[in-house]
Amino acid sequence: VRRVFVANRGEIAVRIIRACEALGIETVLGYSEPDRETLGVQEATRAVCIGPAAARESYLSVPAIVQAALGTDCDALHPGYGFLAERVELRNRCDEYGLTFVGPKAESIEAMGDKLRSRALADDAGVPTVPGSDAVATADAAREAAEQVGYPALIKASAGGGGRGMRPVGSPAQLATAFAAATAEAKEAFGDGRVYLERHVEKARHVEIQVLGDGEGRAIDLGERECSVQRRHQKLLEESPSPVLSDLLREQIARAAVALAQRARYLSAGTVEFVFDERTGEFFFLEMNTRIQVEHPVTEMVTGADLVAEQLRLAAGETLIGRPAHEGHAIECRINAEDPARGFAPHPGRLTRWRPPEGDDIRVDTHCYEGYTVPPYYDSLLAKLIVAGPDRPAVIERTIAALEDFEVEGVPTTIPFHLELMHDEAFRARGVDTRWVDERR
Amino acid sequence: MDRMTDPGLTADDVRRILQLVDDSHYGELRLEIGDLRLYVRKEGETATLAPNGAAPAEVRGAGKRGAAEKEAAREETMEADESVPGDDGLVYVTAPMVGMFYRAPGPDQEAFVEPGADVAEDDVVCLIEVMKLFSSITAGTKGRVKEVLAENGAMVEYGQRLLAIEPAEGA
Repeated sequence: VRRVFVANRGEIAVRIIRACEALGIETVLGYSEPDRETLGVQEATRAVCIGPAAARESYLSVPAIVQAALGTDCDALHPGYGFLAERVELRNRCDEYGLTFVGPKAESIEAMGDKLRSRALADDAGVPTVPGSDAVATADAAREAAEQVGYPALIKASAGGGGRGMRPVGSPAQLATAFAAATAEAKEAFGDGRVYLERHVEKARHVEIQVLGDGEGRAIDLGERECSVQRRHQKLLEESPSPVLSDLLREQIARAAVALAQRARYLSAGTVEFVFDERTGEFFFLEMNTRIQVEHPVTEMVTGADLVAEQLRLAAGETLIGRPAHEGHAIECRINAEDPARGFAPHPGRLTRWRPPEGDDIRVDTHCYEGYTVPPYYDSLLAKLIVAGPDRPAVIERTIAALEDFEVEGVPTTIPFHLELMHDEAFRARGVDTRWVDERR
Repeated sequence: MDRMTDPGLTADDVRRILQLVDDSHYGELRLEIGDLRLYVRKEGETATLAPNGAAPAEVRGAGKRGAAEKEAAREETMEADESVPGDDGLVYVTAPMVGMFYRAPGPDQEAFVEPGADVAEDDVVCLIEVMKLFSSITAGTKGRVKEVLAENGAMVEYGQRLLAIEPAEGA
C-alpha cells in the first residue's frame, strides 16, 4: 500500500490521513464541494473534488469515488464508516479495478449486512442470538411469530440498521399497525421491505466486542465497549470496560465474538454487537459491523493498539498482532452540533470559537477548527472527546474537567448533555440502559 | 432512442426498462448483457447507453488507456451540461462529475472543438469518462471557443473549468 484514497469526510477522514502519514503512506481525499474547507483537505497529500453537496452524487457515488482513486493513481482505498463503508458494490469495484480495499472481504460485508444471514452465521458459530423469527410477509404471519417469540417483541428490518424499520410491539393489539409501519420504513430506507421479529430485551445494555481478523481464520478480540447511552438508537457515549459485566461474562462475550470472526474468516477490523440483559445476565448477538467504528478510540485508549494502522497492515497482507493487554478505563463523548435542549436538533453554523481541551490522557478526534462552518448536508458529529484514566470514577472526574474546558461558540453542542450525564447518580453508579436517555426526556 | 443498433435490445425494451426503473424506488440501474451496457440514473435525468463492440478492458490513470477503450467513446451518451458565466464575460463549461477528460471522440480522431470554433448550445465539446461510461458535454451556450482549459486524458474534478466560451451577441 503506497497511496490510499480516503473515501469519507469529517473526523474519520482526518484520522485515516494521519494514520497513513505515520506509516509513510500518501493519501488522496475525495471531498464534496461544501467540504473544501475541512481539515482533511488541508492535511491529505492531495485532495480532489468528487461531486456536489448531495452525498448521493459524491460520497455515495461508487463510480465517482473509484474513478477519482484511479485517476490519482491510488493503490488502496479506505472507506471509513458510514457512506459506502458497508456497501459491497464498492468493495467489488475496488477488486475489479485492482484497488486494495482497506476492510473486510465482500462475502463478510454481504453476509453481515443482512440481519437474517448474519444471525444464521452466529448460530453456526455457537453465538447466542435473540429469540426471533424468520422473515414475515404479512401481519398475520407476524402475529403468529410474535406468539412464539413472546411479548414484548421488536419488529426489525432484515436489511436494517440505525433503528430504522424498527418497531416495538407490546401486545397483539399493536401488531398490525407496527408491522405496516416497519415494512414501509424498511422499504423506504433500505429498498428492502423484509422484516422479522425478535424478543425485545428491556433494560438492555449495548455491549460490543472489537475484533481483528486476518482473513484466514485467525482472529483476536480487543475487549468490549459499552454504548448504552443512546438517543433513538444513536450512540452518544461509549466506554470501556463496561461497568456492569463480570469478568466471567466479559470473557464469554469476547469468546463468542472471536468464534464468529474466526468462523467467517473475517479480515480487518470489525465489531460484534450484543444486547446484554442486565436482569437475566443473558447476552445475545445483534449484528456485526464490518467497518471501523466511530467509537474505536475507546479501545485504543485502553489497549494502546492503533486500529486504523492495523487495518492498513492487514490490508497489505501483514500478520495479525497478538491480543493486547487492557489497562485502565476510557470514555468517549460524541460532541455533536445539536441542541440537547431542543430534542437534539442538528444545528449547522460557523464555529466562532473552537478550543478543544488538551492534556495527558485526553484525545480529541476532529475535523473542525475555529472559523469552520459546519455544513447542513451531513451528520452533526464535530468531535470525539476521549478521556482515559486508571478507573471509571477517575475518568468521570477527568471527563467533567475536559468538558468544562471545551470551548465552543457558534453552534449548540452536546457538551451540556454530557456534563449532566457525568453528574447523574445512575450513570455514575453503573451506567444506564439503552432507553434511559429517551425515557428521561 | 434511434441510436441503438444492438439487435438484442430494442427501443421498446429500453422504454420498458426505463418505465420499470421509474416506477421502482431504485435510483440507478446498471444492466450488462454481453457487451452491451445500459446505465440509467433517475436523479439528474441521465441515461447513457454504450453498446461496446470492443468493451473497455481496464481503466487506470490517463496514460494507460488502450485503443479499445477510446473506441467506446464513439458511442453516444447524453448528459446535462453545466455552464457557468464568469466575471470576465466568458462562459465556462464545467465538469458535471469527476472523471477523465477527452477532447475527441476517439484516439485517432479530431477534437470536437478547437479554440476559435463556433459552437451552438447543443454542440458536444468534450467527453468525460467515469468507469467506462462516457458522457458528452455540450457547450450550453452559443458562441466561440476561446480556450480549452483541461488537458486531454487527464482527470478533472467536479466543477473544474473545462472550456471557456465567448458567448455570441444576444446569447
